[in-house]
Amino acid sequence: MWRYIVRRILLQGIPVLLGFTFLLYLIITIAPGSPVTHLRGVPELDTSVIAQREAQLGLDQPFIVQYVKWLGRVVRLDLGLSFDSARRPVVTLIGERMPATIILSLSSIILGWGIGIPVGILSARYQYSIFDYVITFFAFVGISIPSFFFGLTLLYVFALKLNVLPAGGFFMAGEAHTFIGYVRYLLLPALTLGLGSIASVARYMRASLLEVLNEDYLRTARAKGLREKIVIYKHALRNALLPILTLMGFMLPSIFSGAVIVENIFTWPGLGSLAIQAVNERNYPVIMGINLMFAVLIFLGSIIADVSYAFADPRIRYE
Amino acid sequence: MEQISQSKKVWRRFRRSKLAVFGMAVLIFFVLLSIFAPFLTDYDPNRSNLRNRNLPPSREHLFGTDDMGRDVLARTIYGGRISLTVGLVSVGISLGIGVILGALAGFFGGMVDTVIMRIADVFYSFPFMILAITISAIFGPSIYNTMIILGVLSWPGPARLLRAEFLKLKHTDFSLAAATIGAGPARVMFRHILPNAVSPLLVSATLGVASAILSEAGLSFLGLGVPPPAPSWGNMLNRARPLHILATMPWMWLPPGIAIFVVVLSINFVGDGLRDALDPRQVMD
Repeated sequence: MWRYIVRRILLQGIPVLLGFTFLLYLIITIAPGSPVTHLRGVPELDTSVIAQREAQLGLDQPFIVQYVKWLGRVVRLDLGLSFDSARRPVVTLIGERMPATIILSLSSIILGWGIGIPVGILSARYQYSIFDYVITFFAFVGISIPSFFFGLTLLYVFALKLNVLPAGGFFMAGEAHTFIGYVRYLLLPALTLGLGSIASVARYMRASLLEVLNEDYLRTARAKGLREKIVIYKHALRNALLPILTLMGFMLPSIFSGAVIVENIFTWPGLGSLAIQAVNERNYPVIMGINLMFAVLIFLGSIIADVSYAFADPRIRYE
Repeated sequence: MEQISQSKKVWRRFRRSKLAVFGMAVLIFFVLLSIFAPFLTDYDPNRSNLRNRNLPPSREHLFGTDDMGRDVLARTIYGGRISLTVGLVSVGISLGIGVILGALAGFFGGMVDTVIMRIADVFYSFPFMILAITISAIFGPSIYNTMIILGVLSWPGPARLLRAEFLKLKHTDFSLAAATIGAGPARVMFRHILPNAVSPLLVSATLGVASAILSEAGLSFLGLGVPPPAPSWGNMLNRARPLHILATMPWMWLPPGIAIFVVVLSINFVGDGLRDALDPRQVMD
């Protein structure tokens, strides 16, 4: 198992990350215009000052030199300094924002799996019932409704009209960090981000269970007189859940994509909000750092999904 | 003759799904709205009228006006033009790239396949939205950049699909026969194999339009897609985000939001219906 993980990291992870960061750095640096003129709070500058600032930031060097230098720092876990006037380390900036994004993403994954799986099971068990049709329809709605429209609607109903939940943010200054507080701030963003996952997990779960229900070993289980509940929840479900595990790895990129928009709607202080600020300021080190961070998280997610698949399915062995 | 009866069969099976037919009808409605936009509203969607700001729906302005006095109905109709166009064009771009690279990878295999598919992995495994906002902010948001970004970032989907089809079809008798009678690789690939892979491609393209419309709206919502004053459903929602507008003037954000939702839902219904209708495992009748 460990050999498999190490091989995945060396043979797949590192090359993909190198290719990705190289391409991204290339795109960023060949773009027209200078980041110096985009930074916030910088007055109109004449060309000599711009050139001087660019030299300070190392932007006067050729692309490949910049990239190799950046890479050299990354190996030492240093993502450089932010371009803005405070010049704080990117690692610190990301460290401040990361917990909020992880909390948000994890809660929406828990919502997605926690609601999607039982709903999908019931939908498959009672295939072609009214319940099944309603669920199928709502699954379509869930994957079709834009997260920002759904989020704004939740905001409108629960924060602005009913006034029962905060309209965004994450703890006021001085507010005690209670569990109830977490739930109150988290509920609307997590639901907005999780809706798509609930819908797709339910759809996959339904399809997967229906496929398993046709297998011979289920006929055998029924033939030897097992009760229907045991047939479904013990024999069928265990096999039907396997493909759902791999789905986890596939869905992580779209969850992080969604987080960018959801954090923006609810002014959630995570990596997504930082990303939007950074791209608007053309803050290269921050942009590179965030992209790298997401890339690493997604890669780790796919490894965890594969490994848990191997644990769950004795037929799979990574050697 | 064979071709015609085949597509009739598909159509007959497609019609059986009520949701698919409903989706098709809604889509046709929105396409007609976009095409005949100038005849449907007397208002210029981009002309602001500061005396008519923030008006609630009335007889003159059925959906009210926005914070710059522009007619919301006109902007929603014209916004459909932009959203649908961006959706179609960007799927065209991703199909163009995806079909060529997927066909090459599946047909030639070996090194070509490895290189193309590794690049596809790189594109596939990163959060689309973060890359999209990065590239859009750096090259400057515009409707053309939006189409290009959405198209270029989503080619791995069709490429993977087509590669799988090519792997399946390249050893079939008809492609061997074509090669035996002297057809070159390009001819075998695009005249003989590609037509047989159209069905799955059609389904993926349909669903691709839905996700492209969602992505465009998302980018525009973040202010990094179609820039104002041109109306797009996403940037209309962006404009209505201040909490006082959200709370007291729902006519500004409900129409574009519902429009995106209904159109994407309809495309997904149609795509799903197409998938069932084109599935060769279904009994032909």
